Amino acid sequence: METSTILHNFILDELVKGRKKTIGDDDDLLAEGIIDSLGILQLVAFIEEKFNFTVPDEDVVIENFMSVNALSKYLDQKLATKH
Amino acid sequence: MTSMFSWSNRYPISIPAEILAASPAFYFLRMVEQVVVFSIPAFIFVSGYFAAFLAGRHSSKFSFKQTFLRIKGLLIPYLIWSILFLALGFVEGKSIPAVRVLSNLLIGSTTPAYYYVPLIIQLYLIAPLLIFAARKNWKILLIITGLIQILIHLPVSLTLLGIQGGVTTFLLQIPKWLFLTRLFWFSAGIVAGLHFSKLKPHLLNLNKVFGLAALFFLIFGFVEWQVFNGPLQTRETIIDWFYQISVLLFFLSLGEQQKLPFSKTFNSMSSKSFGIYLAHVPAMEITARGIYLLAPWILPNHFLFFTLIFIAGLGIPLLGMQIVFSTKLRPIYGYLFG
Repeated sequence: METSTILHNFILDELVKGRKKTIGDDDDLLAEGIIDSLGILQLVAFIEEKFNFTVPDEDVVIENFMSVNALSKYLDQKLATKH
Repeated sequence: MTSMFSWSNRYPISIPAEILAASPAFYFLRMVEQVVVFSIPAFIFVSGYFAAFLAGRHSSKFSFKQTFLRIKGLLIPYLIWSILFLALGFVEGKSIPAVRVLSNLLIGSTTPAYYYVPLIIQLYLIAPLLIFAARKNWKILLIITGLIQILIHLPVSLTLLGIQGGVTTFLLQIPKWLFLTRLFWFSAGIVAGLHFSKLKPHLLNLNKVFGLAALFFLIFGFVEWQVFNGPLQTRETIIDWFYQISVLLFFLSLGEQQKLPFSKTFNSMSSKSFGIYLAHVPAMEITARGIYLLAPWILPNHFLFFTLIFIAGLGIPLLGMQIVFSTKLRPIYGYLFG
């Protein structure tokens, strides 16, 4: 499964919590209130477990977590470097 | 879970200290209370970290839209549960004047636990100022807010030592819902959010020191209370503050590869913590009353009573959240549980 699909499914199932039926890959997750203070920690924990990749603290920035697209682009880059 | 645990011995299950004193149940409850004293500061710290995250580490902008969305996300569930609690009182025949209802909602005194929401909203509202200060000079910000925090905790320590009156009494009157009582923790979260990657290398080497310090201040705080015969805590002493700082630094100084046991469970639970926090109050209240009316023989069995209240306080909210989440009620999940 593609990175963006995995992230999309997780965010829709665990973070959207019924607020919306769907989310677009470019939707602003922060401006729409989908990610909150604990949501960001949950998302980082999910990424670390699912992709077996530790997100460095300096990478937990708004630019990387703004949308599903931004996050999957960041992850794809990091995973490519890792492999 | 820790936030709920923190409250669980302060409600109808709280048994007068003089009855419990020297019993195993008493020491157990005291230790639980002492251990979880870091929970509220930890939540405030994470909120400060998130405020810095929203502001962006590399920009000088501050998004009021996102901040107000966050406040809205806290406010709506809070109001729903507060009104539910008021309605329960109304059904019981309690008559509360409208002005009192409004003030209760404003300062979060509908239940003893709900002060946290007005508190965190105030902190989010002053976040732009704190973020500006943290960008300019984070050390000064931490020193100033740290001194304010000492002024909040010192009177509690002095009172335990029998020193009262004057300024001490005045400072003790500062309400828990006022942002000043937790300003340091929110500021510390902001500083971590903006500068943590620079600070982390210095902290990593001190992980064991922080762990030992946390253990030392945990025991010291327990002994302090015991020696000076403190009341069941609603405020923290200076020693408790040192404990909170040590615990926080211990977690921050964990290496990226170090995982704590049950971290997956705690992560999953953390996303539900606001819902648990809001719903545990009526769940525990109703369970405690039910036990009082239907099975009063449980009351002297402190451990059994505590266990049942704990299970109800955690289990009923989680069950309710699961039911709402997996049925047609799902669209209202966010309004009910955040």
